[in-house]
Amino acid sequence: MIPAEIINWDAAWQAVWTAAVSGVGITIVFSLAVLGATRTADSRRDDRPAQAVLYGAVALVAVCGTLAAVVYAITLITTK
Amino acid sequence: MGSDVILVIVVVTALAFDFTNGFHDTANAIATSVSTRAMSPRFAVAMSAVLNFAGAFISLKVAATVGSGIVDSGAVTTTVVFAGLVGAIAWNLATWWAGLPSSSSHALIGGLIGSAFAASGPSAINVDGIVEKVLVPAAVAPVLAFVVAASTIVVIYRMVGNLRPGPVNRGYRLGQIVSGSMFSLAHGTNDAQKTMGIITLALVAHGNISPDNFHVPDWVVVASATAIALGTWTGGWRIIRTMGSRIINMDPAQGFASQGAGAAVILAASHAGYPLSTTHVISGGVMGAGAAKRVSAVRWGVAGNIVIAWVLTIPAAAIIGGIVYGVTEIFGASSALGPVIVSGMILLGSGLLFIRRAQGQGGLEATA
Repeated sequence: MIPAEIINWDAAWQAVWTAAVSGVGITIVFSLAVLGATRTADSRRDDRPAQAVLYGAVALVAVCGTLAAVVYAITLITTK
Repeated sequence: MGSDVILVIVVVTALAFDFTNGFHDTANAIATSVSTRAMSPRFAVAMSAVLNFAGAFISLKVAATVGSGIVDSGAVTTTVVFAGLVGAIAWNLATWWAGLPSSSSHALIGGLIGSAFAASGPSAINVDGIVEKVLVPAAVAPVLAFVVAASTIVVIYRMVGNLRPGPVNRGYRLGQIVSGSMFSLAHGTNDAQKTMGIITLALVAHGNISPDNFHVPDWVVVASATAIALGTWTGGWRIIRTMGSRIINMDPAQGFASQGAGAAVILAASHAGYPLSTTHVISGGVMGAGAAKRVSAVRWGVAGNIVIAWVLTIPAAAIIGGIVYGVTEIFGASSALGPVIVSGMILLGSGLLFIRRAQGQGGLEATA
């Protein structure tokens, strides 16, 4: 039987929710980049320039968001 | 003179452990990238070796905490450290031979527990520390990574499931290069430092460094970084095959989901001061990414063997560590003869393993 007071529940809970939020969050952002890039190519092929620009902008913003997350992750690794 | 020889043997053994850590654990970081062809095997190990080498120089905070709170520092002698390292190396080689991903950190902790127990009895072991710092995180890590990876793969399939697979796969392969790099860097900052900490502990126990002025010498940092990078470069291809293709047949999106979720879990846990094993995290992530697509997609027999290896890691390394300590003690506590004989046996055994491995199969191409 593990005494409950041995376990640092605050740290465990913080690890759980931040992992869940950041894992799903970065996936959504990167998937938006993939979706945007793919839709941009499809729109260009179908000769729909306005839609291509819109999806291109989505992809660009998502790539920037992904890069920001990577920089933040490197900061976490190097400062722990 | 005898203690000098023991110190040299401990340093060499610690670097040997670091080498096994490189080819054993780093396989986890790159396995999914290799199996989905996001990276060629050669490029993957080269990248991982460079990032492990770089990661070893980034921070030295972990090095000061090796074994703290788990075994009584008063029970740690150079012979105890040596026996613990041998226990960890032996278990790493056994699981590598079986192609099973297990935690090198847990093997090291198990080895130290066993050798400290054999040296000073049960009073040398901090059970509360083991529960808090090792057992609970070991239970949380794979479950958390499983759930996060399963959630992310569901999100991915909903967002891009109806798009053309060609560009989508290319996109997630690109993402895997980034997530694999993050894993390797995080591994280098964590695991190379454990070896640095062990060598520095031995230097303190031997009197080369004052306990009041605990610092990791530069040559220890360079030697540890080089050893883990060389181990990584050698490549743990058996484990890469298990992780990359024997648990599930992985597509690039699943590879990204398992690595991305794994990286998020490790970084979130590190940020919260909660130590998790990279091996347990990536294994849970791979299983979660497979099970969320289809439960039967996961080869649960292989997954079960991996879990059994995890459960056995600490007790097995502890038993080996305890036996090795007992053998070295036969020749006297301060005699170098025991460590010399055990080192010779380990060298002979691992040499035979590598020769049989080399004769058995080709290497890189076996995984690609």
